Formats: sequence, structure tokens, C-alpha cells
Amino acid sequence: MKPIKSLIAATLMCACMQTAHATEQKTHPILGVSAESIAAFGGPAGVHNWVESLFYYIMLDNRINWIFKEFGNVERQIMLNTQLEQLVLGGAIEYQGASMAAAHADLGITMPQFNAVVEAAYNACERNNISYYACNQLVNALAPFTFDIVTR
Amino acid sequence: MNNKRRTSRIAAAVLIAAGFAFAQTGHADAASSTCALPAPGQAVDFSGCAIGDSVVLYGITFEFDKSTLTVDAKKLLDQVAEALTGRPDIKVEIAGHTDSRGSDAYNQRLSEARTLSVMDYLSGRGIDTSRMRAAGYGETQPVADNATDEGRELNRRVELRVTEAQPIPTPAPAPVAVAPAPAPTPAPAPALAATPIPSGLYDDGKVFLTGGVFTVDGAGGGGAVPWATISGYETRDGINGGVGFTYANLPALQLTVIGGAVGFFDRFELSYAQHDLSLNLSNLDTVALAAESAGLDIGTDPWNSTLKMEVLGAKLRVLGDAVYTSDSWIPQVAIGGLWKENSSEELVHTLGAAENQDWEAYIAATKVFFRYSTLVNITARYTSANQIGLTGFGSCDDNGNCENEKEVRVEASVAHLVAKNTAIGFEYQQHGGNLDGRSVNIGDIDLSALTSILGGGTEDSLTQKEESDWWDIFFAYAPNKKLSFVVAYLMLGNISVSPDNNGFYFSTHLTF
Repeated sequence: MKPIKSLIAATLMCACMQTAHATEQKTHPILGVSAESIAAFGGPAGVHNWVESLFYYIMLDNRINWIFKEFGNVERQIMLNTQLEQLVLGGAIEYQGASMAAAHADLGITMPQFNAVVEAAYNACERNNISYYACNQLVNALAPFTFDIVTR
Repeated sequence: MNNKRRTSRIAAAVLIAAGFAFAQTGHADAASSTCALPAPGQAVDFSGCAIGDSVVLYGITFEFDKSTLTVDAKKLLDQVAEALTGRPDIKVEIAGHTDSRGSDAYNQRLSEARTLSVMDYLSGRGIDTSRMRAAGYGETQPVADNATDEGRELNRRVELRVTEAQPIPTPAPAPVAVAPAPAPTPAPAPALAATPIPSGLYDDGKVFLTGGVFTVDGAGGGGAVPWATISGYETRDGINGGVGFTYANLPALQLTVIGGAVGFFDRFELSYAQHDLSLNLSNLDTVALAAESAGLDIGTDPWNSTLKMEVLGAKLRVLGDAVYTSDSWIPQVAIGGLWKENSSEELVHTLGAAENQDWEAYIAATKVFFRYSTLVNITARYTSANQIGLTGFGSCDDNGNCENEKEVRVEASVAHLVAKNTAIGFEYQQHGGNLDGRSVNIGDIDLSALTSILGGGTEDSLTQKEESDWWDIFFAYAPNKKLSFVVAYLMLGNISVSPDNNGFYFSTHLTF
């Protein structure tokens, strides 16, 4: 009786942990993330503008735009990215998307493709007049996802 | 009072009638009558409705003296509901009117009750009540003569007045065609599916400046210090490389370096550099002059002593990622080896070195700290080089006893990125002391004899000074991934017999 109970408990725990990992957690860069980061982006609305610019540059980049067109609803990605960026910069927001690992598992993203998105991120910062240093706070906070996303 | 009221009633009636007539005629010429009741058998269509339009729903009839809708009225309202559903942007006022029979107050109440029942019915057919407003006007807005049956019939009516609507795009006026030609149907645009760009092994996918620039050893890194990064803009998926050119101008020397490096899969690097160093040591020139007059070949020419060196290098990234592992202290680590061959053998020996060629090994650790937009590199080099090998390796004393023992020396680079393509920073390179205090050595002749002849405190002029560690501050700029420039101020201190060697350094790195 007892072993069965603990088996059930273990299964439940597993289920819980899976649920916890199904979405994404805040990252923990060793040197932290500047507390003023979201403000430096112009608040949540500024983050949203930045994400829109990011997708604008992604869609102009023939190295990667086809991936985004093929595998995702861009409007939804913009919404989720706005949440994720705020989450990793320390904003009090619920991220409603899947984990980075789960979302990119089957895409076979390569390092050059990932770096192309990073370039788009810097272009978006420049376009939105977000300082290079503030931009690096975001890169700092997103960098730990790199090897969840780059699987090839 | 009464007169006044009548006048205003008449005026209103005229206005309403005019408006009504206008509305009707305005749409009469539209082939589909898109904001009006349809001809019998056609569907109600509000697609042409704009703000201010009104449609008289003549088919909406009620049971006598009641607000109950007749069966026919419901049928018509079903169509109206459908048409309103097709125009979700419009809001309407449902205006009820009676004829003049009965009292004003009674007619007012009756018109209100009837519009409400129309509204209720439409609401039951899925039209949101927020889109409708019921207004009873009683007998105040007749459109015809209440003295006749026909007139009263026209006055008993329900109108839909469009109070809100999105503007309807106006079609551009069609050009007048001489002979009407059938409009050609535009071919559907082909659906362009974006596809991966074929790249093969060539790859320039690294982020700006993260491959380092061109060091004087040829390896990828800063100016003097090799980093753990693999040269070129390739990632782990490909190959990239570049060539570099460096020129440094110091009081004692001018140095030119030409070379290149190729990076394979961001894992392995092969490099080559060729050095040409012209010495401007006037005291050495004096020695050269003396030696030439004495018929000795010591590897110098008066006023034109040059040192030449070639460097072959290989580097292997062992672990880590310098750029993206911001949640770990583990840096990118690489090990490397250099083979340095100084072809100015006589001059190197003249300057007291034991060997003109030797190997070096190093281990480098590099990490980018995005939090502070800064790259830090620490390198430990196992070497016996004098001035990176430009003046040979190890040393020999005046008695011809030579030693060439390698030791570990520390080097560091700190690069702060002020923009994604611009870095400022400094470098440090520890040097050894093999030749410190050694006299310039000419064919085993004790040069103190020569300096004694010259006299007047020149005894130490051919004694080499303590070799200084190298320092530099630099500014690096990469306008694009093909090209980078480094300008630096070098503080190299004592070089051979010359002190205080500060000067400028310019380097460019062209990547493919």
C-alpha cells in the first residue's frame, strides 16, 4: 500500500515539476540585471515597442525570417516576447508562453541564426533609441537561454 | 405659443422630408441601393451606409394601437438584423413616429413603446443593445399630410438613423474609357516562401568583434595578448578568417606585422605573422659602425639594423562560451602554441640572446560581462622570449654560458564596449628579464673597452636595460564585419639599450 502511495506521490510531483518547467523562469546572470533596465527601455510599453522593432528587423533578414514565418504566429510571438523580456528584466509579469527549450526543441536553430536575432536585437535598440548599455542588460538576461534555443 | 410650435413642426417636417428625400435619391442611383430597403425579394443591405443616412422601415407594422410587432414586421427585422451584423461598425437610432391622431402625449408613449419593441427584437436577433438607441418622436416629425389616409400611413413609420459608422472608402473615379473593355483579372501574386540561404562551410555568423582582432603573434585576440576566442566571424557551423596589418612607431624601433588567421568551427585556429622591425638605436649604430670598420659581421648595418621574425600559431578552444553564458562564471578557455623563428640570427646573438627560435605555449580565458559591456581576458604564457622573441630567447653571459629557461608570464586584456562595434581598453603583458644588464655582445669582445674609449660616462650605453612589461591603451572600431581598426598608445618601456619607448600603434584586420 505504502509503495503505491509514494509512487503516486512521485508521479504527482513529476507532473507538478513538468508544469513548472513548461513555462519559462527568470534567468540568473552572475552579475545580476540592472534594476533600471525596464525603465531604460521606456517601461512595459517601451519593451513592447522594442519587440515590434525586433520582429521588424527579423522579418527583413533573409537568414532567419523564413523560420519565423514558417513556425509561428508573429503577433503571438510579439506578445509573448514582450512578456518574456519584462520577466527576465525583473518586471512583475506573468509569462504565458512555453519554455524556451520546449518552444525551440524541434526547430533546429543554428548559432548563426541565433546570432542573427541578436543582431536584430541590437538594431531594434538603436532604432528605438535605447542605449547600448541598457540593450546589453537585456542580452545579459536573455543569454542563458542560448543553448535552450540553439539545438544544432 | 401654438403658432411657434406649429412653425417649428413644419420646419422640422420640411427638413426631415428633405433629408429623407435626399437620402432616398442619394442612394437611388447606386445600383445596389446599399443603404436602403431592398426591392421585394432582395436582401437588406447596409454595406453603403454612412453617418447621417436613414432608412425608413415601411414594412415594420404593429398591431393597432399596440407595440406588438406583426409577423411581417418580424420577417423584415430578421433581415435588418442580418444586415446590421454585416456592418458591425455602425450604430443606429431607432426612431418611431406616429400620425397625428390621438393626443401628443399618447402618441409619444406609443412611439417610444414601439421603438423599444423593435430594439428588443433586434437584440434577440444578436444585435448588441450598445449599438442601438430607441427614440420615440410621437407625431412631431410628420413626413406627409396627416389629413389624408395616405399621408397618415407615411407618417406612421420606424426609421433607422445611422449615428456612427466607419468611413466607406471612396473608389477613385474611373477613367472614362472610350470602349469599355472587360477588366482584366489581376493574376494572383505568387506566394513567395522564404527559404534558407545556402551557405556551405563559409560562415560569418558571429556577433560583432567577438572573434577578437589581430595580435602581433598572428593569433586572434587583442593587440599583444592572444584571447581564448577563435579568430574570424565563423560560428561552430563554419569557417572564417582574415588578414591583419600592424604598424607601431616607437623611439627605438618601427615594427610592421603582416599576417592572418583562419578559424575552423569556432574551435580551432591557425595563424601566421611576419615581423619586420627596424631599430633606431644610435648607440647600436655606433657599434655597427665600429664593427664594420673592424670587419666583423654582427648582423647590423650602420643606421639600418632590422630584425625579422615569423610566427606560426595554433589554438584550440577547450571549453566554455565567452559570450553567452552570462549565468556562469566559467569563461571560454583555449590553449595555444606558437613557433617563432627569428631570421636575424647574428643580431639576436649580438643582443645577447641564447636562441633565435623557440616555441611558446599559452592558456587563455575570455569572458564577456554584458552587465558592464566589458570583455575580460587573462592569458598565461609559458615562454623564454625577449621582447616577444624579436630579440631572441634566453640569454648568454659574457663568458658564453647560455641558458634558455621558460617561465610562466601573465597577460591581460580588458575591453569595454561603448557601442556594439566600438571598444576601448587596455592590455598588459609581463616580460622576462633575460637580457637585463647584459652588454651588447660583439664577437665575444668586451664592449666595455669600446665604451671606455668613447669615455665621458658612456660606459653603460651598451648595457641593456631591464626589459619592461608592456602596457597599452587602445581604441577598436569595426565599421562592419569585414573590417576593424585598432589605434593604440603603447607603453613598452625599456627595449634593449633604449628607455621610455612610448608610441603609437595602428592595426587593421580584414575578415572574409
